[in-house]
Amino acid sequence: MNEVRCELCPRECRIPQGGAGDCRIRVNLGGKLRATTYGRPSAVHIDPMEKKPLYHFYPASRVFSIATAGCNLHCRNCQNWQLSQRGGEEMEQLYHLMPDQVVATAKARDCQSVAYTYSDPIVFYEYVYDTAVLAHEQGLKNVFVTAGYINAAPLRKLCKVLDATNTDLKAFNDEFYRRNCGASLKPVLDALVIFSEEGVWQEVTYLVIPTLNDDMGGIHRMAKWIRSELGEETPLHFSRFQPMYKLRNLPPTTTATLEHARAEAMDAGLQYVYIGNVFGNKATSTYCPRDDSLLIERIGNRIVENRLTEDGRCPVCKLPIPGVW
Amino acid sequence: MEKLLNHSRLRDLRFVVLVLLNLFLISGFLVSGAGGESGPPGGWRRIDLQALQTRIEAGELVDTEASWYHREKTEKAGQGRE
Ligand SMILES: [Zn+2]
Repeated sequence: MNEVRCELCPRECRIPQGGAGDCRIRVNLGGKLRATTYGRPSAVHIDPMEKKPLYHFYPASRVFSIATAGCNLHCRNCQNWQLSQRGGEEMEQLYHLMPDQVVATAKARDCQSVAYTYSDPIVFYEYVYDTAVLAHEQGLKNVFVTAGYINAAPLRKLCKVLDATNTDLKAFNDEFYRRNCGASLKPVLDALVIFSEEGVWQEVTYLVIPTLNDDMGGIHRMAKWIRSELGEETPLHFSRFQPMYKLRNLPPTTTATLEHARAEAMDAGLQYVYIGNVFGNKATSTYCPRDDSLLIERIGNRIVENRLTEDGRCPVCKLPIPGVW
Repeated sequence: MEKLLNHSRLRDLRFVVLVLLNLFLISGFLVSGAGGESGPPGGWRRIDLQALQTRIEAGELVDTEASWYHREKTEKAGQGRE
């Protein structure tokens, strides 16, 4: 007795009294499931929107970004593993920042949005939801940076208070999810479709890891899936892998591989395909899909020039560019 | 003579056990972590409950009730992982 079943993510952990879910921070105390990091983030930063990365959502705006410990994925290449692969009781740093304090601080620091990010905000769902409701009341936008491993019902409820998401699609291959993240692909694809159906502005990130998910056939199939299920206007970011955590044995992704992946995705019909984590690459900028005019010039996470018209059109051919400008 | 024979048999036996133990440990290592994560476990984790409770009592963590769960009425949870 006193066991609980968490229904937040597809793992649906059955947790005995005194145990935690796979995510480490949802704990059964006294026969009730507790969100132990509610209002206790371990990472708090102000970032530019481009760092999420979101390229078609309030460019160059400031985002108040928070994360608590814990994650429901266990990626061998995790860049935030010291945050994501720990429970709250293992953290040195625990800030006291209740939802109203997050919103007040974000506004005081001149941020236009709050981002739930770094680890996977799915696991601190209640904190995200309550903060997002207050943020909306105060005129702030909500940005959800996630791997999308969540059940449909909680996601649909959360979508009502989200404005934008960047979702990691880690591979277009269930075997990769199983071996590299301890998860599975199908729920992630379902989540991408739900974000789209619920009208949340969505961009997708694909981290290209040499030998593990850099097969161009798979990348082409993924891009075709995005085009048919989410739309050709969905921005896709190919990001460069750097050796870390349990994947220190692999080299960084070459620029040639990233450019090849981008060409495959554009060939599959996607209109806005970017390359990230490569300084000075021209594919960090936004171009008009009709006449190839440079629309937003970026160097790293910095915007050099934004040539979009006030209502978000190409200044040359007046094509409306999808996004929230 | 017989005593000497018994002694050497015992030594052989020890050697065989040692070899088998090594093989067992090596195969255990290969099957576990080295091959990476092995799919979506639906399990739970053992945590340092004492540390958690101490930090909740100190106000550094909280016991806010979560959403999206229900109490189980049947069967038992499997073995927890660290
Ligand atoms: Zn144009």
